Amino acid sequence: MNEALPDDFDVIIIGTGLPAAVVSGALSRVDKKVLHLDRNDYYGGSWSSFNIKSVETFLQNPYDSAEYLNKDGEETSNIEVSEDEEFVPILQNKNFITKAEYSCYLKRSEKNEEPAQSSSPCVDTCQSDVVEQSCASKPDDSLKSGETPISEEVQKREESPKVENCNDPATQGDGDSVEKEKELTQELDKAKTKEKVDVSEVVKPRFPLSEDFYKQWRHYNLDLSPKVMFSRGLLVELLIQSNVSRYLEFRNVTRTLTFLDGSKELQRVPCSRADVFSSKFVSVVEKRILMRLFTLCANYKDHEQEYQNFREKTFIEFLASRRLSLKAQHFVLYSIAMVSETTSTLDGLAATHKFLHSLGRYGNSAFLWPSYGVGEIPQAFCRFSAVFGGTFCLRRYAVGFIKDKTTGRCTAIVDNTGQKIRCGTLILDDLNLPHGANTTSTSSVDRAIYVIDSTVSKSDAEQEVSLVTIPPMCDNPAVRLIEAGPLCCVCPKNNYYCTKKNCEKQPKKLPFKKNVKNCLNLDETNIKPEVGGEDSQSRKPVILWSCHFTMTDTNTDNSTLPPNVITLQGPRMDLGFDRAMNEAREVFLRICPGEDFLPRAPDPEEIVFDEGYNTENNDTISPTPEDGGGDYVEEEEEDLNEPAAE
Amino acid sequence: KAGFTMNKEDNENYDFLFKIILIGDPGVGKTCIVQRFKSGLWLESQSSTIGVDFCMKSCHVDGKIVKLQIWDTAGQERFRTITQTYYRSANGVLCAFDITSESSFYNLTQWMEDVSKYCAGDVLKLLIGNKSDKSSERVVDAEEASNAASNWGALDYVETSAKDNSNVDKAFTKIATELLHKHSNPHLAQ
Repeated sequence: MNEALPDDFDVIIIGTGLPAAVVSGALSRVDKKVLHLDRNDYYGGSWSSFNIKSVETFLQNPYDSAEYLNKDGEETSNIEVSEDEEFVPILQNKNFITKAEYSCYLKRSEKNEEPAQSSSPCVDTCQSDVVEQSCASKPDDSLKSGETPISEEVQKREESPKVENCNDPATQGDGDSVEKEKELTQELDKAKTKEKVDVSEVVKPRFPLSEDFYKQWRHYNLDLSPKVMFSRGLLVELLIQSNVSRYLEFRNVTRTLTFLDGSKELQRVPCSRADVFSSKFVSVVEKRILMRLFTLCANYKDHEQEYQNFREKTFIEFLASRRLSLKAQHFVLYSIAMVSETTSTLDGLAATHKFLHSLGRYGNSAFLWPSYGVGEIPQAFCRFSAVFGGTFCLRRYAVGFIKDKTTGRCTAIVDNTGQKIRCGTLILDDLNLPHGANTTSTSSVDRAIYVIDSTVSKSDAEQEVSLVTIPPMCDNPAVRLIEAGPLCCVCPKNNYYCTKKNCEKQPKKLPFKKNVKNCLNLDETNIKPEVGGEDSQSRKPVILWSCHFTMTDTNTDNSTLPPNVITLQGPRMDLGFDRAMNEAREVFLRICPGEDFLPRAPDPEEIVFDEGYNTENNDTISPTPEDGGGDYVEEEEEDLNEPAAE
Repeated sequence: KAGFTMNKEDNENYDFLFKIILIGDPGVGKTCIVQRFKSGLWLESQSSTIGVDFCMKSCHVDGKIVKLQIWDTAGQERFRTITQTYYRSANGVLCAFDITSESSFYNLTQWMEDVSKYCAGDVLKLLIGNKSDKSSERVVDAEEASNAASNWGALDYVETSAKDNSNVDKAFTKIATELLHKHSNPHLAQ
C-alpha cells in the first residue's frame, strides 16, 4: 500500500500505542490535521493483543528487518536535505521485548504430521486411538461443553534483576533458535511418548492435540501489557466523557484472590462491605475493624487525626496499629492497596482510597476489563481519531525527520517510501527512537502468558476476570496475575480431551516462573490422564501453552530533541491506565494549550444534520422533522449500575 | 454478547438491535448507501467520510421493530487500516463494491478474509454491487458477483444505486429480516 499520502499535517504521530492513540483522537477532535503511522500491520505497538498465531510470529521476531542505518550506525545517504537541514534517523526500539520464548505442551497427532517427520515409525494402537478421539471433537460440539480453558496473564511487579543470560541468542527471541528449540522439544516429546506407552494411554483423552488447539488460534486475544481499568480511573472517565466508550465492551473483574503464606489455596479477598460481611476468612471482630478502616480510607483526607502519628511510618505499621490481624493486613496491603511493605502511610491510604472509590460503580468490583483485551483500547481511540478526520496508515513509518539547523525545529518526516511529509509537531511512541537521543531503560518486567485448561481457583459462579496478587515470599518477588475466562473474548470455549504427554524441556527458568508455578501448582509436565477426581476442588489447572518475555521501558531524554518532537512512554508495570492518560493529556495541552481534551463526541443522530457537516451540501440536504435533527438535549451520562456494594 | 457497554441504551423503542458494518474499497459508495437509507438523501459531492461514525434506523419486519446500528469505515479503508474493534460484535456485514470497478470487486477477497478473521463465525454477509445507475460502464457481471456471493457464504447479492435510490432499502431490509429470523429462532441462532 504505497499510495502517496497528503504531504502537510499539523501533527504526525508515529506508532499507535495507547498514549499516542489518545493524543491522536484528542487532536483530531479539535480539528487538527493528524497523520498517524505505524510500522506494524496491527495497532497498539507495545499495548497490542495478539492471537496465538500472531503472538508466536511476534515472539519469534518482535522487530522488522527494515532499518535506515547501515551496520556502523551511520545513516544511509540517499535522503536529500538542503544545507541548512539535518536528517535525523528514527530507529526501532529493539530493546523492548527480550528473552522471548513460547511453547505448546500438547501432543501432536502422528497421522497429521509433516511428511518428513511422519517417517519416524511411531504407529501403535494407542496412538491411533488418540487420533480418533480427537477427530470426534468437532468445534461445534465443543462449544456446548462445560470445561473451559482460561487464558491468564502474569505480571511480575518488581523490577527484574538483570539476568545473566540476556545476551544468549537462544533466549533472545531469535526466530531460528526458538523454532529449533521448539522442534527439539517436540522430538523429545515424541520419543518420550513412545517409551512410556502403557495402560494409561487407553484412558479417554482429556486434552486436545496441538493441531486442534491451533485450529482455535483466532479466538485468542493475549495482551502484551495486561492491565485493568479502575472503574473511576482516568481512562474510564475519559471513555465516558468523550463517547469513545461506544467502541468498546467491558467485563468486570469479578474477584480478587491472594495467596497467604503457609496456605496451599488461593483465598478470595473481601474488598467491599458486602464481601467483608459474607467472608468466612475474617472473624466478627475483624469484620468491624476492617469496616472501620474502609470507612476511614473512603475519605481519609477529612480525618487526619486518625493517622497523624504515622505520617513518617509505613502503611503496614499503621494497619497493625488499627489492630488488623496479619491476614487482614495482608489483604489490605497486597490486594486492596496493592503496595509494598515499605510504602508510607499516606501513599497506602491514597492507594486504598483509589481502590475503594472505584468499588461498586460497575458491580461489586473496583475494576473493569476490556473485552477482547487491552489492545482494543488504542484501536478505539484510533477509530475515534479517524472519525474526526485523522489519516491512518499502517505498515508505514518515519525513517527519520528533517531538522532545520537555524530554528532547531523538526520540519518534516521522511517515510519509508521516501516521501517527505511536513508537520508542525512530531510525536513518537515508545517503539520509535530518534537517533542520537539519550535513552535510558527505566524498568523491566518479566511477563508470562499461560493458556490453562481450567480456572486457578474454582468457584460456584462463572468468573469473568480474576486478579491474583502473590506477595513476595521466601525471596521470591511479588507477582500479579490476571486470569480472564472465555466470557471476556480472549480465549475460546472448548472441550479438552486428555492425552498423555511428558515434556522433557528444561529451559533456564526465570525465578518468577517458578514462583508462580509453585503458588498455583501450574506445571506443564502435568499433562497426563486424570483418573477420576477431576471435578474436585483440588484439581489444579494444567498449562497447555505458554510464553515468557521481558519487557523493558525506555525513557527518551526530550531535552536533546527539537522542541516540537515529543516522545511517549511505554506501558510500564502499573496495573491501571492513569499514568498513560495523564501523559496523553499533557502532550495534548502542550500542542493545544487551553483546548478541550477529548470533549464529548456528538451522538450519531446529531452528526448527519450537524451544520458543519452539510454546509457545502445545503442544496441537497435538509433536516426532515421525522429525523429529529437538532432536537438533541444534552444528557448526563449515567452509570450502568448504581453502586451495588456501597 | 461480549460484555456490557458504558453507553446508555434505550431499549424501549425496538424489539431487536443489530450492528451492521460496511466494508469495501474506497469510493464504492458506502457512505452514500448509508445516507440514502438513513435519510433518503443523495450526497452529490462528498469526498471522504469525515465525522460519520454510525447511524441508527429502525425498520418494521414481520410486525417487529428492528433497529439497525449502521457503522461506516471512517475513511480507514483508504489504506486498509480498519481497526479490529470495528468488526467486533457485528451481526451483519454489507460488503460493497462498484460494478464499474473491477479492482473493487476483486479486492473483496481480502475484505472477506478480514471478516472471517475478526467477526464472529455466524455473522451474516450481504454482497452489494453499487452504482447500478451506471450500467453502460459495467465491468462486473451480475452472475459472477452472484456466484462469488454464494462462494463466500453470503446471503445474497443485491445491485443497488444510491443515486437512483434503487434497491438500497431492499438490501437493508433483507439483512434485517434474516437477522430477525436467525435471532428469533433459537435453532438458527445457535
